[in-house]
Amino acid sequence: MALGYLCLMLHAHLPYVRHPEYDFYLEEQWLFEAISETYIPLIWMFKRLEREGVHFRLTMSMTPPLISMLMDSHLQDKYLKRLEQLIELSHKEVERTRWQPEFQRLAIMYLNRFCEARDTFFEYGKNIVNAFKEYQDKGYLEIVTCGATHGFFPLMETTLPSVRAQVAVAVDLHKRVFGRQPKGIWLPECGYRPGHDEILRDNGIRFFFVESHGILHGTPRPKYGVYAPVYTKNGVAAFGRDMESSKQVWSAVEGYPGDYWYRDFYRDIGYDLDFDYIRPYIQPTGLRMHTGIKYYRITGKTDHKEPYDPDMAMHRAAEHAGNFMFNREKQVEYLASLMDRKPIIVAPYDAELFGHWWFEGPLWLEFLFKKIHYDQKTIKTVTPSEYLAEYPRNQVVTPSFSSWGWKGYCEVWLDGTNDWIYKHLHKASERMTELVNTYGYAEGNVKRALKQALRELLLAQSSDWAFIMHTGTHVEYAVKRTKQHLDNFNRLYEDIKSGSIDIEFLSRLEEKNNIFPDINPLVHS
Amino acid sequence: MPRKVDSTSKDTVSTAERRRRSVRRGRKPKAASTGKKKTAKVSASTKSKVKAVARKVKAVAKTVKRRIRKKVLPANEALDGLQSKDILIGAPAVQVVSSIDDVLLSPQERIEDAKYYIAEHEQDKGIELEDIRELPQYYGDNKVVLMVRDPWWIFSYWELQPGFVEEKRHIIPPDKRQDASFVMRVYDISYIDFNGTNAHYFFDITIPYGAEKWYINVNAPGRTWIAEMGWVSRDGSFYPIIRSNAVSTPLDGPSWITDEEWAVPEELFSKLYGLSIGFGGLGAGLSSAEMHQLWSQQLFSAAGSGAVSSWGGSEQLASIHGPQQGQKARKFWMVVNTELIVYGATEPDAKVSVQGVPIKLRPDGTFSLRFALPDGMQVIPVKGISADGVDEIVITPVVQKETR
Repeated sequence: MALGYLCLMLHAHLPYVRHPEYDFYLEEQWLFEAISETYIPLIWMFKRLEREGVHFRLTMSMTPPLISMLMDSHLQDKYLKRLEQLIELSHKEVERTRWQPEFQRLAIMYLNRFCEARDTFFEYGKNIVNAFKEYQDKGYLEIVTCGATHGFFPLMETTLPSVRAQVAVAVDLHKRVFGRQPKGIWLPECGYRPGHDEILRDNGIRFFFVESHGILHGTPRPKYGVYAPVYTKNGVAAFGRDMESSKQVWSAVEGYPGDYWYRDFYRDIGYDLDFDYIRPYIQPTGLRMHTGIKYYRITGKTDHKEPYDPDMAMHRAAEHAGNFMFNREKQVEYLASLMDRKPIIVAPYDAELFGHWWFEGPLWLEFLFKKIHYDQKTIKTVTPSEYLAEYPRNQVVTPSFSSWGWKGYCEVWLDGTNDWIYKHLHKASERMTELVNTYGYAEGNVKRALKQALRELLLAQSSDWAFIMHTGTHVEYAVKRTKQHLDNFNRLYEDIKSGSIDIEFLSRLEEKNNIFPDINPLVHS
Repeated sequence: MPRKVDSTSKDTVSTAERRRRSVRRGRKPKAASTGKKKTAKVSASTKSKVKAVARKVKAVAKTVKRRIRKKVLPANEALDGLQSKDILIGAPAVQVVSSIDDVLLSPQERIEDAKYYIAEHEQDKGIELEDIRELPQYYGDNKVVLMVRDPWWIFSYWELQPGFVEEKRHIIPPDKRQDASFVMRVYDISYIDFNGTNAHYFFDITIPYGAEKWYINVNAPGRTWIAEMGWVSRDGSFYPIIRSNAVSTPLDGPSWITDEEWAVPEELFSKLYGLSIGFGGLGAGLSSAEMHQLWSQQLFSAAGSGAVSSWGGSEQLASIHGPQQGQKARKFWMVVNTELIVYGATEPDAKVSVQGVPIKLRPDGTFSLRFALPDGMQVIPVKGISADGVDEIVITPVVQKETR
């Protein structure tokens, strides 16, 4: 009998980026890299663990924009095209590195990975969401939903209908895609405000996650800290993040991904190799970009990088998995001595950490699941639903306003770089409510325009844009996306109000920003 | 010419790293090709055998030795940079009024950011979103909105139409109008039904002409706030014209309210608190105030859930944050690599192998191979066999490469 539980939670998300008007679009590579490096390697892990008969439980949020992109045939074809390019490049690399065996074995590794990715991609009919659904249906995976476009809820306080729409649209898509009501939600950026639990309850959500201090600073004091869920007044369970286990992966000091044997993220042949040679595989403009083929390891706090050694890296991943497990065992043993029930340790991470940034991440996860299965009896992996089934009775606590962003609240999404957007977002949200109240039951083109208006509003609300403005990477794109969706919204608003809908404009938007084909505008109220 | 060669020098800075640095600092990256090139000695002795048909063997090799200026940007400088950053992070958040220049991210945000890191997007002028209209500057509203940023700060934006303000100005008695100043009055209305005059306390912020947003340092977690805008006359009378929504700042420490049914002794709670925030047993026996301190330390320190991460090398952080004061990092750098192109032609249906590895011919019988060329000697036998297997030709270029 296990003394306690470990709930590993991966939050998989990318903003909706789809530009059918271009053959190549730089920001679409976000998705393509994540597919090759994170999502498909996770599927490989599921398959291997299943084949070996390893007991494992993983919780994942798959956000509506990510699901929508993965299911979009235009993006699927573009991904495949990119993958074919990389396979071609890998073939050339195997040849080019013939006299450098330390690099050639890596070139072969990439060639194999890309080919296997292509096989997996075809195996699921180019729609890898099917793979996640498969492992959900087999009981290994609990998939939870997220905000419809990953809007940051705490900054929508004066426009609650938008929070309702974010949740309702997400739940609706989730049901269509995964064939069941999502029991849980990963609140975008883990951003919670007291009161939003009512909206979750109204949408059939049974649990959500909050940052550690969301629980710890909740009222009244939580008896078990973050090691047991609490119920909000509306009966929705809140699971708190355990910083101890997070720190081991995230921390600058103790974090595993910084290990010198692990692959370096930045050194990529897209930058390193001769221009003429790499030209066909970078941006059509001739500007360099990542290819995903990276030959070096972190090496140390130095600019000099040594060639990557997959065997050593694998060895380190196994060691790190063992270390993580050992620490969880000790943690659970200690907690079990303090508590009168089995503790649950909730360890959420960005899914894209695994594989994309931390190349060995999926391997680490696989080792971890295996070790937990074979090597010990103290802990067991669990999903939030399973835990709630075992412990349906929990303390009622109002969690505190919080997020998992830097400094724990809203500063990332509300600072001098991005605070200008809220005036416009709030106004658009008020206008949307006004439209729904006035034209909610209209038919024909007004209904079409209303639906598109909500799509544009939701797309403008993606927290990604504010995040990007804050971090300074791809700012221009984020600003343009924000302005464009808001402008589209405002034009639709004016058209609807004036009773003269520009059908050509509307059709163009429907084709371009085609997320949520079945959206119901009435949810924004 | 200095002749010292040290191709494994620790000071070597990779092209990509360097380029990234320049980008992060907002400069145009140098193209790798701007480095001076010098053709190295490439001795290619070609030994043809019988019936030499095959045509050209061209060794393309660009080699120059690496000349590294000492301490280009050594790791220890990068580390120093990291430490001075720590100090900045360690400062209370409440002292940062608006945005800060440096981008500070928690480790998971660093990952999230990496998700978006694929190329030097800033210079991506080739692809544009279609032209977009600017958003309206005003919507014709009269409103004030408060948004909670964290337990200590509230953000406010507002829109007031000139006509509305002008009209409202009449609520000030004429003799007091002259010296009245426009302010935002922020009230603490925690646990009360606010009627305009019963707030626990309030403070005024003088709003400069043209301001449309403000970060308000309420510095009081767990309280409820509302703001009014209006004029304060010289005698202290306040003439509000508009009121905001109410907001509540969250607690920045554990609640003092406990639950009888789910009672938790102070001692136990402090233990769990310390564990939950990643301080192991350190929380044991702490008072609420001490717990709060531990938590803030965790929240704001680079060592805890930290704002910086050394993943991928802490030197990146130093570069992201720019050179530290008093330390001028040398910018000059150079990288040189060599590749060899082997190309030729034969009958389109011939079988050709290079170093024993079969290769595919183009439909016209030509072929071309490209190899990374390390130091040392490469013997590259190219063997062609006619389709009927009767004729065989072997041509063996030998290439010697050295880096000085």
